[in-house]
Amino acid sequence: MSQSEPHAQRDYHAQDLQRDIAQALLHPDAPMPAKLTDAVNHGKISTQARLDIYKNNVIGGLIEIILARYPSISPLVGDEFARAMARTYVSGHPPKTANMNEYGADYPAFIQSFPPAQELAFLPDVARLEGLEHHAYYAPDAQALTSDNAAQYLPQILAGAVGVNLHPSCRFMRSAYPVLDLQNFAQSGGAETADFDLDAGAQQLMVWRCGLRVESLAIDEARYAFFGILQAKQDIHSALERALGVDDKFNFEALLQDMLPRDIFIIV
Amino acid sequence: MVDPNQITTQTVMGVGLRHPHYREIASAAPRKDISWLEVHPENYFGGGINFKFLEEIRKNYPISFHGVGLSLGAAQPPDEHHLAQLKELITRIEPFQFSDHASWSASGNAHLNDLLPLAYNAENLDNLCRNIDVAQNYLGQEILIENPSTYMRFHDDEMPEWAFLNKAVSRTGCHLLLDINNVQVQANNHGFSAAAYFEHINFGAVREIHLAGYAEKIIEGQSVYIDTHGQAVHDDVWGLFDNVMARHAPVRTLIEWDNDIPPLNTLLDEAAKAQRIIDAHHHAELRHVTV
Repeated sequence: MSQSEPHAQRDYHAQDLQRDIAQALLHPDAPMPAKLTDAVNHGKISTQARLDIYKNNVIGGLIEIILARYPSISPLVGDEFARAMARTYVSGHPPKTANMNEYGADYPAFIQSFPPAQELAFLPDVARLEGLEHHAYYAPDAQALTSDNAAQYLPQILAGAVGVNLHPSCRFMRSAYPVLDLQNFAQSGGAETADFDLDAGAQQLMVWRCGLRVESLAIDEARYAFFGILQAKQDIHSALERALGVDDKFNFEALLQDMLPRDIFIIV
Repeated sequence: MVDPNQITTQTVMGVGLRHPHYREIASAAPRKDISWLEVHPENYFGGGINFKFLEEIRKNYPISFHGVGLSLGAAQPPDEHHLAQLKELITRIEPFQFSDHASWSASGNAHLNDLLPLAYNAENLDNLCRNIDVAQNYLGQEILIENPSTYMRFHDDEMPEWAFLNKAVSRTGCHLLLDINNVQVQANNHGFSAAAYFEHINFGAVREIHLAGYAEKIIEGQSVYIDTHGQAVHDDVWGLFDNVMARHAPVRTLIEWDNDIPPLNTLLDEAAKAQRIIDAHHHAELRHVTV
C-alpha cells in the first residue's frame, strides 16, 4: 500500500474544491465561489474562460448523449428547441453513474413536465419509444426459442412443465398517438408535424432485440394483453385467457408463426 | 492472433475500436495490419449489441481496456458498482491490460463524464494513490494511469505533473500510459517544455503511448489547445513521438480518434505512419519488446 507524504496546511480541501468545480460546471449561471476563483492559477487566460472550456466539454457532451439517445426529438421539434430542452435537463440531472448508457433514462418524464413542451403532448411518448429502443440495445442476452426447437418445447410449455418468458430486452408501451409512425416520419426527414396526422389513433408497441438489431412493432390489443401477462406472470394459460378476453378471435398459432422467428421467447 | 505477451516492434501499433467500425472489423478475417485494439469498457457494461460485437472481435484480436469512469483522482473513492461491472467485463473479455486517468470526474453523486484537473499536491497524490490501490486490489492487477489534458492549474500545485505521476508509480506499483498529445496540449496551455517532461517522466514505467489530434482555439487572444481526439495527429506531436522513439525502446502505441471518426483505413494510415517512425529507430527487426 502507498505511503503518504507530509501535507502543507490547506484550508480548501480537494473534496470541497471538486464539489465547487462540479457545481460551477453544472450551474453556469450561479456565481462562482470566491475560494474557487482564488484557487485557480489563471495565468494567460481568465479563470472563467478556463471553466468555460470544461463547461462546454461537460454540458456539451451530456447534451450530445441525450440527443443521440432520443434521436427523433430534434427532427420533430427542431434542433434549437431540442438542445435547449436537453440543456435544461442536463443542468438539473447530472449523471448518477459513470456508465453513460444509463444516462437520460428519465428524460421522457422530464419532457412531460417541461413547460415549453406542454403543447407537444406526443413528444414524451416518442421519447419513451426511443428509451425502450435504447434499453433493448443494451439489455443482457438470452437464448431465444426458435421456430426449429419450438415444436420440441411447445407441448411442455402448454403442459406447464417448462416455463416461458420474453427476451430480457422486450418492453411494451401504449400511446394515444401513432407514435411508431411518428418516429418513422421524423427519421425519414419529415420536419413539420403539421404534415402528420396525430389523430390517426392509439398504438400499442413492443420493442426488443433480435440478433444485432433492435425491432419496434405495432401490435393489436389482444397480443399486447397476451405479452403483458406472460412477462408479468410467466404463465401461458393466464396470458391466453386474458388475450381471448380482449378478442375472442385471438389466434395463438398465428402469433407463434409471427413471433418465433423474431427471437422473442425464452425458456425459463 | 498476436500473443499480447510476446509483442515485437512490428506488433506494437494499435487503434481505438469505435462503434462505426464494429461491423467492418467483426465481419472480416483477422487483419495483419491490426495487432491489437483498445476500447472504453464502459460502453460494454451490462451486455447488449456492443458487447456482442466486442465478444466477436475479441476472438481475433487482443483487447486493451481504457477506462474513463473510475475517477481515480477524486477526493472520494472509486464507485464499487463501477468496479464490479469492470471486473465482470474483464472476466468475460480478458483484456491484456486496464488503464484509466490521473484525473477526476465524480463529486458526490454527480458524474461529470469528463477528465477534470487535479492540483499536483500531496493531498491529491494521497487520494490518487489510495484510489489506485483500491482499483488494483479489487481488479487483482496492476493498472496504467494516463496523464490528462488540462485547461486549468492551481495555486497550490506543489510539483510538476511528471513528478506527481512518478510518485504515484513508485507508491502504488502502477504503470503509466503516456499520452504524447496530452503532454503537448499541457505544454502549450500551461507554458512548460514538452522535452523536459519526457526527460523526467519515469519511462521505465510507461507501458503504452497514446497519439491523437488536438484542436487550437484562440481564447482571450491566447492559443489554447483542446484535446478533441477529432482529427489526425499533428506534426508537433509526431516530432515528439520521433524524439521519444529515438531514445527509448518501443512500447504499445495507440492511435485514438473519438469524434468525427474517419474510415478505418484513415486510422490504420496513422498507425502505419507511427510504425515508420518506430522502424526508423529500431531497424524493423523482430525484436521482442519488454512488456
